[in-house]
Amino acid sequence: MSATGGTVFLVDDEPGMLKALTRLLEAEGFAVRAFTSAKTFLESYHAEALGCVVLDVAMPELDGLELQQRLTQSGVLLPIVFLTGHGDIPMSVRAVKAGALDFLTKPVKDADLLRAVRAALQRAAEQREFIRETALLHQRYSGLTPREREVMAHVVAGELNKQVADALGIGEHTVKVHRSRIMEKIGVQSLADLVRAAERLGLGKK
Amino acid sequence: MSWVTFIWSMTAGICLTLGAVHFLVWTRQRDQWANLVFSFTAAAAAGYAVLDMVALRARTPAEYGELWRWALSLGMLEGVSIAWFIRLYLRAGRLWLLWLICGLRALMLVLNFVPGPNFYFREITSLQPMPLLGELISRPHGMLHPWVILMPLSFLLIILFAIDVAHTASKRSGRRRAWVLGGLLAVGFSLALVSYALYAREILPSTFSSQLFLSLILLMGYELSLDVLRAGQLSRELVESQQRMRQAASAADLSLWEWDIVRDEIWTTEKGRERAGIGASERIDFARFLQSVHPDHREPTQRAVRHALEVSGELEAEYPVISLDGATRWVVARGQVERDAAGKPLRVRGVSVDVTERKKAEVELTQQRNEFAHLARVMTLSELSGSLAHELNQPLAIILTNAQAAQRLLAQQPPDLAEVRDILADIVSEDERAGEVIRRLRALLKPGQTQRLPLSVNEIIEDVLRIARSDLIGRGVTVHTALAESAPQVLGDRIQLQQVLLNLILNGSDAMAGNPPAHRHLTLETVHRDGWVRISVSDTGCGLPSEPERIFQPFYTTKKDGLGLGLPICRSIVSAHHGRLWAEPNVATRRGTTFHVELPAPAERKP
Repeated sequence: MSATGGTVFLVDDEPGMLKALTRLLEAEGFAVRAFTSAKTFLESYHAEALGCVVLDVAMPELDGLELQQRLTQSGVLLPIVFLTGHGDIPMSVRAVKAGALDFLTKPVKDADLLRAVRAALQRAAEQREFIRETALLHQRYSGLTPREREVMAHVVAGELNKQVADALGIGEHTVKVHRSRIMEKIGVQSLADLVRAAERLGLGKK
Repeated sequence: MSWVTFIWSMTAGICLTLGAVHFLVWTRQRDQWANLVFSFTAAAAAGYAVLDMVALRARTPAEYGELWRWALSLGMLEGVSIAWFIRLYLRAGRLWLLWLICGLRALMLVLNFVPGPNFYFREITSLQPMPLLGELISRPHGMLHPWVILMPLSFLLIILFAIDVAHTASKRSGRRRAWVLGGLLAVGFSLALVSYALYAREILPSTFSSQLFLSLILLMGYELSLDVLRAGQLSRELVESQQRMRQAASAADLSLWEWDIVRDEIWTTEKGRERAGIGASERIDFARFLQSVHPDHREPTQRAVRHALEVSGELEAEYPVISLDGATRWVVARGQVERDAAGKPLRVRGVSVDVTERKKAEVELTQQRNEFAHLARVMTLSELSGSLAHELNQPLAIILTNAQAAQRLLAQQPPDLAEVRDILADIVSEDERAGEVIRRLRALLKPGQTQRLPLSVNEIIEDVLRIARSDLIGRGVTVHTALAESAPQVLGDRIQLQQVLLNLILNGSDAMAGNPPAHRHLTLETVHRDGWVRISVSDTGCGLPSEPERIFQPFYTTKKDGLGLGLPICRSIVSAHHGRLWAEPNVATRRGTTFHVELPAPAERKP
C-alpha cells in the first residue's frame, strides 16, 4: 500500500509503544525497523538507507533532540517525525527549526501519524530524486566544452544572443549553434529549464 | 514482816509480773521470740528467788541441800535463757559459743542431780545462823564439790558471749546501744562471779543471786519496753507518713495500690477505685480489676503482669479503663513485686497515673503529623504532575495505537487474527499498568491513617522509582541501585516511607540541576545488618550548606519556590518509625550529598 519506498526507523525507549507503532505501520504496509534507544539506532544505521525516523523525544541517555543534532552534524538527511508524551512549545520549536518534519503528541491519531510518515517518506524520496538529478546535471555539465560553458554562463544571465556574441567576440550565428548544442547536452527544452539547471549547478553565483 | 521475806518475795513478784507482761506480748506477736525467752527467764528468776528465800530459813542441812538443788537448777536454766535472749534480741553472737554454754550448763544440771545434796556442796555438815537485815538466816557449812569450778567457767563464757554479741551487733548497726545491754549483762555476770566467790569463802551470808537476776531482768525488760515505745513511735510516724503520702499522691493525681497475691486482694486509694469505676466497699480481686480494663487491652495487661511476676519483678502497664461515668481514661501503672525467701511473689505494690491528657496529645500530634505529611505529599506530587501525566499518558498512547493497528488489521482480507489477539493481550496489560499508576497516585494523595505493617524496603524503593521515573528521565538523571539481597523488612507505613524516599530522590535531582547531563547520577543503596536497615540516597549535586542540620529545620529552603517543609516532615515521619534521618557530604568523591534513613528491621524475612 505504501506509495513510496523506504524504511520507517522507529526509536522509542518504551517497548510497548514501539511494538504498537510497528504493528500500525506494518499493517499499512510500511517497512519498519524498531530501536529501543537512540544509541542502537545510530550503531546500525548507514547513510545510504532510504527512509524516515519516527522519534520519541524523552528518552534516557541520548534523547530525541540530541539524536537529531547528531544526524544533522553527520550530514544525514533523514526526515524526522517527532513523537512526544508531553510536547511543550519550546521543544517543538527547536525540533522544527532543526529540520523536523512534524511534531506529534502522544497519544497520536493513526491518520495523523500515517500522514506524517507518508509525507516524510515522500520527502525522503524527493530528496533522493533531487540528489540523483543534481548528480546527473553535474555529469552533463562536465561534458560541455569550455566555450559552451562560457556561452551558457552568459545565456542564463539573461543576455540576448547579440550581447553574448559581442561579449565573447564571436558571431551571433555561432552563439545560436552553441545554445542549441548546450540545450541538447544538458537535456532541457527551454531557456527557463536551462536557467533552473544552472541554478541547481550553482552557476551564476560568481 | 521481815525484810528478807519482803525483798525476796518482791523480787519474785516483779520478775513474775514482767514475765507475764512479755508472755502476753509474745502471744500477740508469735514471731517475737525474744519476748517468750524473756518471760521464761523472768519466771525462772521468780522461782529461784522463792526457793532461795525458803532455803535461807531451812532447819536441817538436808532440807537446805534439797532446796538449793532446785534453786541451782533454775539458776542454770536462767543463764542459758539469758544468753539465748541476747542472741535473739540483738540477732548476733557466735553460735558455737552459745551451744558451748548450753552444753556446759546441761552438764552442770546433770551433775546437780547425782547423789549428794547438790551441785555446789559435796556435803553440808551443819547450818550456821548468820545475821541478815536484822534477822538470823541459815548459812550452810560443809565441803564444796570439786566440779563447782564449772560454775565460774560458765559465767566467763556467758560474759564472753555477751561481749561478742554487743560487739557484733553494734558494729553491724553502727549504734552503741547494743553495748549498753551486752555490757551491763557482762557486768551483771561478773558481779555474780564475785558474789559466788565471796559466798564460797563464807564472807557473804547469801549469793544474792535473786537480786542480781532481778537487776538483769529489769535491764532486759527495760530494753524490751523501749522496743514497745519505739514501735508506738514508729506507728505514729507511719500514720503521718501515710497521710503525707496520700496527700502527695492525690495532689499528683496518683492512686496507690497494693495487690496481695496470696489472698488475691487489691487495696487501692479512693482515687484508684473511682478511676476504675469500682464502688468504695466492693472487694477487688485481680479478675475484678481486669474487668475494669477496656476489653481490647485485657490480654496485653495480663501479659504485662505475668511478665512482672515471672521475669522482671517490675510492673509497667498502660491500659484504658472505663470509669464510673462511662468515660475511657488511660492509666499507666507501675509497681514492684515483693517475694518471699523462696522467690514466690507475695504482693505487688505500686502507683497508677491518669495519662489520658498525654495520650490525647499524642493522638493529636500523630494526626497533625499525618496531615502535614499528606500536605507535603500533595505538594510533592504536584511538582511531579507533568511527569505523572506522562506516566499515565504512556499506557494510554500505547493502548490507542494498538487499538488502531487492530482496526486496520481487521479491515484486511484475510485479517491477521493471531496478531489481533496479541494486540488485545497487550492492551489489557497496558490498561492494568495505567490502573496501577492511578492506584499508586490515589494512595499517595489519600490522607490516610498511619499504619504499621511489615514492608519490604526494596519494594518501596522500586515503587518510588517507578513514580519518579519520567521525572528523572526528563531531568536527565541516571539512577543506580544497590539493594540488599537479604530483602530487609521494616514495620511501617508504606505511603509515608514512599513519601520520604520520593522527597530525597527529588531533592537529589534538584541538587544536580546545575550539572551537565552526564554528571547527574543518583545512587540508591540499602544495607541490612544487626536489626537495622539503612537506605542511602546519594547525589552528585551542589552539596550541603555549612551546617547540615539546618536543612531539617522548618522553612529553611535553598529552592526558589520551596516551602522548606519537605525534609522536616520526612524526619518526623522517620522518627515516628523509630528511625533516624540525616545527611552528610560525600567525602570520598567530594561532590554531592548522601541522605541516610535508618530504620529498625527486627527479623529476617522467613523464606
